Amino acid sequence: MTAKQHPYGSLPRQIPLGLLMKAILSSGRLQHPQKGSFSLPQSLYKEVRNEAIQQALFEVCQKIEQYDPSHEVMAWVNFLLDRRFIDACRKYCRQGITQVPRDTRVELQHTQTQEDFDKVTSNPLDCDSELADLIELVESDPEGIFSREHIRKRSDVTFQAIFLAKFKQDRTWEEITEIFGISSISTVHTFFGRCLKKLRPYFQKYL
Amino acid sequence: MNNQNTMNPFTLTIPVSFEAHEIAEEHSQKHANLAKAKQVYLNTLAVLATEFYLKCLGLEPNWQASDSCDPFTQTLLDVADLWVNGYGSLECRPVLSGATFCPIPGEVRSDRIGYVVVQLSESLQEATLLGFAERVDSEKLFLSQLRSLVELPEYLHQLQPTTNLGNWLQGVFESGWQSLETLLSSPEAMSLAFRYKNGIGRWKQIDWEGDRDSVHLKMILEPKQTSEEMDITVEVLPIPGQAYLPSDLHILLLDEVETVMMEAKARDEK
Repeated sequence: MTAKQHPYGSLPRQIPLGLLMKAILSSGRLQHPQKGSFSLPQSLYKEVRNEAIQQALFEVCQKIEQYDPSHEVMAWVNFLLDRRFIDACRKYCRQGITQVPRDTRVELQHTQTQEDFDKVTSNPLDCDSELADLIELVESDPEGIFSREHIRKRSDVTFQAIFLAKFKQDRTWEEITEIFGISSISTVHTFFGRCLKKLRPYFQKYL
Repeated sequence: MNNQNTMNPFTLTIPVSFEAHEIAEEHSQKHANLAKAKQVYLNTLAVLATEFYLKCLGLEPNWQASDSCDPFTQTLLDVADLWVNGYGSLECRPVLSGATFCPIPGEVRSDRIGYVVVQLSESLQEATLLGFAERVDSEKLFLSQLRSLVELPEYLHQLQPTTNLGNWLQGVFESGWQSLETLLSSPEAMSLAFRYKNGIGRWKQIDWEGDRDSVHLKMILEPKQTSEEMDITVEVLPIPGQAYLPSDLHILLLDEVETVMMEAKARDEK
């Protein structure tokens, strides 16, 4: 297969690998390991198998050199899938071992679905305390750093000024660009992003 | 393999792993505001699904180095970026099934090498990478405008790979850059280490097509004490065994929008 002939990470390998992944996933020939003898609750089967499929797919891509074209592709994939399935089972068992085995699906998974989110009504009072804290911090500026950071050659356009305009006054990025007379909106974004990275330790210190 | 699906665009549906849910939940739980928690959860799933795909292809995505991994950024902005080593940030936006477009918030419309749209199933157990766009000019990215996912590797490769010097300060280096100790014999290495003791240096070999001699490119970053800036020292040396640089060598240091920041030419004298 073409993927095999090219070096790892190179472009000519990546395209066939993507196609291969798709072919494997839509082949309908990924087997169901341990169908009769699954040791965990049946409700977990699909998730464990999904986990195994993902790991096996990655392994296929990593080990494509070891593929022997004289053998059938899906046979090799299913061989890897079998082993990954065992690993996944083991992992789930290990994590469930301290849990009371009632409704293990919920306890093991903590998986949230769309409905879970939609069901919970948001409490308006609980709104945005993290944001409020951040606003307060930036406004009070205990070490003066937020007003020190500014766009190059524009000492009036400080991080503090942009931050408050956006989050306290609720301006859009376009409005901010206009108000401060900055040439392009991406300058604002880049500056803001870089400041966030740099000021992270201060946020962590105070919040 | 038959060429079926010539009419249907190439999309890829992968299962969402338990680990991805775990990570997504860990991050969403940092946010008391429920709308924000949901946003972070879905954004994280989309990013992790894309990360998995890129890893399978042999690329080096690095979520830990991305903005979307930071809780403060999550609180302030709606970002779902994924840093890909050697290339830049790819934005990975989630949509639910039935969507015809993907909303793109203002804060992510610049500084991105591309946008991948990931459709999450209702149960959130499957993620379908629908395709990608090179850039977005409005708040809506219509799914019908997406390029096929199969073109993504080629698109990334034809981008000029950039070297992110800022990451060097965190100890993150793109592949190909080696530490200076490996280059020099020890007296030289020591004097170099002394001269640049506050700095971070790396070198890489540059080979040209055709007949020219390779050169060694050395870059040393020294953050300044008093300001944000850094001194960047660039040295180009002939490889051991060669006395001279190619005489027509011309070096340009470009920033991410290809503005020329520094320039030098090899001189004719010895």
